[in-house]
Amino acid sequence: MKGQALDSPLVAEGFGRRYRRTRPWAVRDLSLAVPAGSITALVGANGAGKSTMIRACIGFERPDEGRLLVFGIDPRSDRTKAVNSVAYVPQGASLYRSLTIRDHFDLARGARPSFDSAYAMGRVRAAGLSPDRRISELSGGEGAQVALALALGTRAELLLLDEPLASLDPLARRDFLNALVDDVRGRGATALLSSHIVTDVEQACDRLVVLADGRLVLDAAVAAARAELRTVPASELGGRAAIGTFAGQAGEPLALVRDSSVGRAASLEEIVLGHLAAARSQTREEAA
Amino acid sequence: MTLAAARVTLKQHRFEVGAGFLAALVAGISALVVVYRLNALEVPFSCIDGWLERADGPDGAGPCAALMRPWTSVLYEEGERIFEAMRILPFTVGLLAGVPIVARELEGRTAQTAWSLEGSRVRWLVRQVAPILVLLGVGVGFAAVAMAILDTYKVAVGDPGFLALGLYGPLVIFRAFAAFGAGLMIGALLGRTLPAFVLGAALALALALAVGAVRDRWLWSLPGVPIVTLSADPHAEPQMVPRMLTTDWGYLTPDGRMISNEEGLALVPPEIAANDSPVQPVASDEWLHERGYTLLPLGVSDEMALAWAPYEALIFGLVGSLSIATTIVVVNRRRPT
Repeated sequence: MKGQALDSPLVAEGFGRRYRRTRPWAVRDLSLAVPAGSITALVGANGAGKSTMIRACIGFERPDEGRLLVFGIDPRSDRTKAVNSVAYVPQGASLYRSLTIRDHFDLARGARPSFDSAYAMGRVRAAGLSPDRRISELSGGEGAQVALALALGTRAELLLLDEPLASLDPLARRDFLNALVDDVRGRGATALLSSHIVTDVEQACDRLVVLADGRLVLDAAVAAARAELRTVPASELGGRAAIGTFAGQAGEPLALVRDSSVGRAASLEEIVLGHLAAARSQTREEAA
Repeated sequence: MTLAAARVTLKQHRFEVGAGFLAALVAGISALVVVYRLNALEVPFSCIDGWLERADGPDGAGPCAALMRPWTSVLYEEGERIFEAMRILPFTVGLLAGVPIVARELEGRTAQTAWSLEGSRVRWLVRQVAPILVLLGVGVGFAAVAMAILDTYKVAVGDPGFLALGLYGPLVIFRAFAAFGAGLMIGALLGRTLPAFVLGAALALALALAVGAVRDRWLWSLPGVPIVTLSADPHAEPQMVPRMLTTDWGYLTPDGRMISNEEGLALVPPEIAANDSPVQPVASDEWLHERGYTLLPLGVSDEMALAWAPYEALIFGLVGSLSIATTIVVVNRRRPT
């Protein structure tokens, strides 16, 4: 972890956050490093701790344990520097409904003099939007494109996107992801993209982080995980150890295994489901 | 701060800022219209000067009476309405402008966008507050100056300027500033616009009443002097000195000394004082009057009373500044939802 941390735009070291002492931890003991130049999907069920982790990166949440470093900066000790080095697309509608797209870019330029209005303007035009349209006139997908253009216009080297696809239709999701991938890959930036639906981010990400009940259950390169992990019907497991068992699309019991001699290559969704199932079993065992 | 960003900030809050600016503008223009109408009546200053307390004043029938009747009607009917409006205008304008700045960002969930674009929330707050304060400062400042001009006419006619203190001049700006700061702080604490308006209005009212109470106590604590001139004719009505404020009552003894109200009443035998009503010591007054004691109003000059103005400016200035300082702390610590 320490060696990786030197190069990683985002590092979590034993990060934990609990909103109330009487409530369970939202995230606990999370250690990971997001490699530079990657698009990392942060996947987990609702309440798994994805938003908490992303919000902590920009100082919206304070760690109760451990720490998070953004380009080596702890947002607790220097929030201004940490925030100014990242771009953030929040969950849900967070744009000013009474303002136009152009107004948003003017605000961004006031906040960050390095904000590239021309680039952001180009992105919204490419999405078929006039900069003079009000946010209140836009659909959810168009609003998401504006939020993305606002983030990309900062030209930050690290983009944090918190469930940006949640309320979008399939076409809008595709447009959003295409725009994101074009930009991030084009300039070698890094992105951390959270979602609770893995198929949403499958086309875009090259790294996968899975959270369950606030704990890290998988942190791997997508290609490596795909090469290593297989799906087999649970009835054909034999004596092999399964990472986790889960129901297939037709309800058939499936198992995720680390054995290239059986079954078929696991899809990204199956990799996630297998690990989530394993985490659930572990939680039940601990509770018992 | 770029002009474009300032423009967008004003656009975000255009309803509140526009309404506040317009209200201040209307008050200021109305005051100047009244001033214009008073001047248009072309009443000589010799008639206006100290008119209220003069022997040929409101109850007299001298040559000035016919000229002064329409003049005082404009001043005390139309002008007074504007003074009454100025009791609430600075507080309303301040709250209107201050409350939504942070509250609306939290309520509309846009704080997440704003605070992720601007690393320093203090700088963000300054960028939000500065253009609004400048614009409303101009509007409220204009109203304050116009009201100060109008008040000079009331002072000229014999009204103490102290009676309208806070409704004209720099204190108007300090009141608006206090309400602005308080509104900003409550908005940041509650994160909801409407409840913050309601609470802010209640607090502004409480603050105004509290400062008014402190002001009265301060005024009563000043050493009073008789504010009437006595005629040699014992049957003549005492003449009030213009631009004086009544703060207490006292007795002029038969040998020409002034004693306090309490000292005078202490001279009255208990069997007489027993007949006094709880509200007014009428029996005691009569007893003292029969023995040559004259009940006189005591008071202070307008100039003495106006010495309160810097204290009131300090109180409202402190409230505004401390509220803004608290807002900075709240904004810095707050989790945007």
